Amino acid sequence: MSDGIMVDQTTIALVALLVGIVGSTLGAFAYISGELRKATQVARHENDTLKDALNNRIDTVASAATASREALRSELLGTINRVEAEVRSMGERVVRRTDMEQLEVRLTRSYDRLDRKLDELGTAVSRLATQGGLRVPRDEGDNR
Amino acid sequence: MAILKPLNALDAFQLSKGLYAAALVASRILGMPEPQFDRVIEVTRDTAGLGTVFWMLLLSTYALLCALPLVWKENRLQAGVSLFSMWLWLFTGSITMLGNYSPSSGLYQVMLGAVSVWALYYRGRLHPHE
Repeated sequence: MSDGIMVDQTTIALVALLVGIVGSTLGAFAYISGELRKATQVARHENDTLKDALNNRIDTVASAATASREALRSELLGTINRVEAEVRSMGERVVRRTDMEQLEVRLTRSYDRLDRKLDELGTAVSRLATQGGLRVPRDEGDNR
Repeated sequence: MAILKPLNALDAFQLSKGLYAAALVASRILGMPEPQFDRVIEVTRDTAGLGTVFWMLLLSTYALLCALPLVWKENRLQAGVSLFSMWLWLFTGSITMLGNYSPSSGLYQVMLGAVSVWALYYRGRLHPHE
């Protein structure tokens, strides 16, 4: 057995060396594969973290935009209500003014009619005075 | 502060390989018969001029590096040691098996080297000081 070993020593050593080198190369590839897997996982984790942060940011901005929109809506509704009240008030004032103008016209007409009546009365009094004297009958009950 | 660091499965596997190398060195120092390893030394001495002293120093250093995670965890260094152990055990195991010196020991050494592929893959997935 020893002689056989001595004969094949170089071959055995070369084959063993080759097997060792091939195995080590495979091991190096395995290690690099593990490193790549780790890097991929880290990158995926960072990607997920960034995605979550971005989604949170989007949610925050969306909430702020919704709140701002609601505030603007409330402000707009308030403004519309104030404008409507103002228009209503102006309408009422216009109506009152129209009524006053009609009343003024009626008053003017009444005043004119009264004026004419006074003129007629003055004319009648003058006519009575020129025709026979105007005597005011004495009140019988008056003893003064 | 504890001096000894907790070991993970990969470090424990590394340590077991180092203990095997230490056992080979110890058996040689204590003069116990270890025919299969004697043949490995014989083959390398005859083909490459690497004798007993070289193998004793190599295996001692290797055993110490394998035990290093007990006090200092460095994943990259252990990956290098694991890579070297692949070559070491495949080389010695191949000689032992091919020469029919001690098939079971040779097969065990080749298995140590082959399983180191998986160990290296999972070591690559570890973080530097994990």
